[in-house]
Amino acid sequence: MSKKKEESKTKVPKMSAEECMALNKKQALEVAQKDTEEAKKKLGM
Amino acid sequence: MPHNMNVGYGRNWLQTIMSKYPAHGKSYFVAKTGTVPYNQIAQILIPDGDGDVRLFGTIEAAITAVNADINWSNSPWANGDVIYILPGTYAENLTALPHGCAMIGIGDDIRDGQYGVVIQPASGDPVDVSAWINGYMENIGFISSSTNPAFDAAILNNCKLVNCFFSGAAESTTATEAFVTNDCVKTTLKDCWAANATIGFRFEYVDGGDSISYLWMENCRSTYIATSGIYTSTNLVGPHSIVQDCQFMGSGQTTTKQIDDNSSIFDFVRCSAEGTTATEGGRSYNGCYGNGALVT
Repeated sequence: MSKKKEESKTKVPKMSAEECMALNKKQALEVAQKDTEEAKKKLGM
Repeated sequence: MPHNMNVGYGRNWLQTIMSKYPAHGKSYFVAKTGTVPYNQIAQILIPDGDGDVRLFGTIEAAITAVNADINWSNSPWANGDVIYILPGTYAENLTALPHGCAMIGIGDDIRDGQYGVVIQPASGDPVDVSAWINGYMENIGFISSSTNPAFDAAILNNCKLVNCFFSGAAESTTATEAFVTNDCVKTTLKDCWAANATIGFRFEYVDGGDSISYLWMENCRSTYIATSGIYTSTNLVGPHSIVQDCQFMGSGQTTTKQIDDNSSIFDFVRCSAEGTTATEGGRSYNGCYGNGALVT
């Protein structure tokens, strides 16, 4: 996993819900695109 | 009509299943290699070969094929593929899920895998992924045999999970969670069941920007949970999240704090909870009962 399941002890940055969702979408897309790269490698493409 | 017109996993059966859950992209079938279903379908489909309808011996292989086929420059990028999984218990540790794709378990027995689909590895998480986006899954059981979560998706966006069973070992609470995510937007859990774990449905803050937004849980339940049937850590941002018609019950296990919404992000509607402490936190409660009393 890219994120560790630990309670954060750092100060929480103040972000709006919209900012959170935009960041979340960016991070998710990066992971999904990486999955495609890894799948292609597995298949020798 | 011949008595064996549609017996077994033949061409008629394949067509019926594909009609019930139509794919506008490619269709992938999964059956455990060496089993009767695999051998029957292998007479019709090309195992692992190229083509619009293919057969694979593992769920992981089908997921790899789906993800490898995505062209992220396309709009929409999702190919609209469907993975049809035949009955059986699959001892797999999935580290990726198919993006923009549906995973359909054939059969309703998602606790035993005789006429249904169960993913149960000998150890480790059945699912441990960094993200799953724009996906759909239905009729699949995820069972952890160890202390690991049954279903662990750090990010879960625009996904819908229907009639899925997330569980640790039977009548044990050693699995840390049945279902866990850190960050999700517009995800739906419908008719899902979390059981046999320390926490049933866990929403855990990890870093800045984590949110549980537009979550819709409907008709879900948790049972035999040690700590909380549904839990959020502090600091999660979470507008638009509704939990309705859900039951969080001890069912033979004393649950210390059944609803524990530390971020107070969920609007609970017509839910029931039973535990040493039934409810704590929560944005609102409408028509909900805690240990038999109306939560106000």
